[in-house]
Amino acid sequence: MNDFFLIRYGPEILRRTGEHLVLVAIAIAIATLIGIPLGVMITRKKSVREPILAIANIFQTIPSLALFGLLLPIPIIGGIGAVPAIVALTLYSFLPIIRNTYVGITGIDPAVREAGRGMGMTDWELLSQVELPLASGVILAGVRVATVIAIGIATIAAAIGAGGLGELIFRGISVVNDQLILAGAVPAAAIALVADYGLSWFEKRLNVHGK
Amino acid sequence: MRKVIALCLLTLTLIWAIASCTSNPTGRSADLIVASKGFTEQDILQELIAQQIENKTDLTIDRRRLVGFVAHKALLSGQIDGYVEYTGTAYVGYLQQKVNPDPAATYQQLRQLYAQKFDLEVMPSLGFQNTFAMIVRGESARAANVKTLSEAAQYSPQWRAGFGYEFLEREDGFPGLAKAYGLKFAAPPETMDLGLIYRALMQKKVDFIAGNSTDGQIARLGLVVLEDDKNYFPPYEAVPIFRQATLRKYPQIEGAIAELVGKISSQEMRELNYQVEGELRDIKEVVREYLQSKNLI
Repeated sequence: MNDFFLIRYGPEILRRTGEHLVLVAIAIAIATLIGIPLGVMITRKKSVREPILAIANIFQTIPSLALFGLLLPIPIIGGIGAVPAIVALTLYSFLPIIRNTYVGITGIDPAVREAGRGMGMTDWELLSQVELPLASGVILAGVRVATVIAIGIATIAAAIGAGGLGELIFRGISVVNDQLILAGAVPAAAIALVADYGLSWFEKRLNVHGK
Repeated sequence: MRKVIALCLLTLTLIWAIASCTSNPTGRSADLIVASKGFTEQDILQELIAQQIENKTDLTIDRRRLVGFVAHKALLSGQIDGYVEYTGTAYVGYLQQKVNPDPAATYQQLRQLYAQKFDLEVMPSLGFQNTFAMIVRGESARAANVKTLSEAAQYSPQWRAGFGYEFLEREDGFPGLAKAYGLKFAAPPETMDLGLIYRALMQKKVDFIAGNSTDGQIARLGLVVLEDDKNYFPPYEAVPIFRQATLRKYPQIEGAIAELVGKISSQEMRELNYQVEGELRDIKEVVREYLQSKNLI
C-alpha cells in the first residue's frame, strides 16, 4: 500500500498542487480582471474589436512550450520561475474570457436593452444591472474554459523552473518512473475535473437566474 | 451576486489552504536558489549541495530544476545563486575557448575568466569528471571489433545515433565530434530526453548514443564506451559555481561546500546515479545516506 503513488509521494504532491493552484489562480484572476472589462469595451467600440480578438487569438495559437521558451531571455516579465509562468498562463486565458464576455453581452435580446434605456438607465446601470447579470452564464463558461486550459498548460511550466505538478511528470520521465509520472498527472487531471464540474454547476445556477 | 462573491472567497480560501502546505509557493522566501541542469546526476548534485549547506549553516535553499544552458543564463542574470557545472562545458561551450586537454589548466583558466567577466566563483572539483561517453551495445562493439571512436568511424554508416537535445545542439557536442572523427550515420540522429536514451539503445531503436561517463547503467547493461582517442572532448570536472555576490552575503557557504571538495569519486557518482535511475530511490534519501556515509552529517 505504501508503494501506491498517492501515498508514496503524498507530501510532495500536496506541495506541488499548492504551487500549481497558485500559478493558475493568479493567472485566471488577472485574466478575468483585465479580460472582462476588455470584453465589455469591445461591445461598445467596434473599432478595437477585431484587433483585440485577433491578438488574443494569436497568443492562444502559440504552442505553450514555445511561449515559455521565448519568455526566457526577456527581463522583468520573463526569465525562470513563477513570473513568466503566470505571464504565459494569463495570455492563454485571455481569448476565452474576452470572447465569451463579448458574445454573452451581444447575445442579449435587444428588446431587453431597449427596455432598460426606456427606463432611463445610464450606460453603467445598463451594464451592471442588465447586461452583465444576463451574460454572466456565458462569461463564466469562458472563465471555466480558461481555467481548465490553464491547469493543463501549467504542467509545462515546470520546464522553466516554475514548479507545480509538471515537475513530478518531468522528473518521472527523466528516470522513467511511472509512479512519479502518475503522481503528477493524476492530481492535475483531478483538479481540472473539479474546476470544470464546479464552475459548470455554478454556470447552470447563473443561467437559471439569468432567464 | 452575493453567491458569486461567496463562491470566489471559498475558492480562494481553499487554494490558500492548500498552498500553505507548501513552504514556498511562488517566490524567493528561501535564502538562496540552487539549480539543477535537468538530468539525474544534476538533480543529485543539486540536492547534495543544498543538503550540505542546510546542514552546516542555518540557510534555507530553494531547489529549481532547469534545463542545460538555462542554468548558466539564470546564474548570469542572478535568478539563481549557484549550481554544479562541468569545466569543459563552461570553458568551451559558454566561453567559446579552444579545448585544453589538461584538467588543471582548464579549471584555472575557467576560474579566472568567470571571476573577471561574470563575478562568479568557480569552486574546486567535487572529485570526478563527467565526460560524454559515446556508447554502443557490447555486441555491436564485438561484431565490429572496435574500441575507439576512430575505429568506429567506418562502421557508423550502419548505425543509427541517439542523442539528448543538448548534445545535438552544442558546438562541442555532435557537430564537432562528427567532424573530428568523420562520423556519418545512416539517418539524422534521433533525439530524446536523456533519461530515455539507454532504453532506446537496449531496445535496439538506436545503436550509438551519447551518454554520461558517470551513468550508473553502463557496466550493468554490458555496454562499451568507445575511447576518445583524438582527445576531442575537453575535461569535464564537476565544479560548484556560485555568484560572488551571494558568497559575500553568506560567507558560510564556502566553508560548507569546501567539505565536499574532492570527496566524490567517479565510481561513487555512478553508484548514486544508479540508485536513483536504476532502483528509482528517492533522491533526498539517497543524498542523506551518502552524506552520512561520508560523516558529513
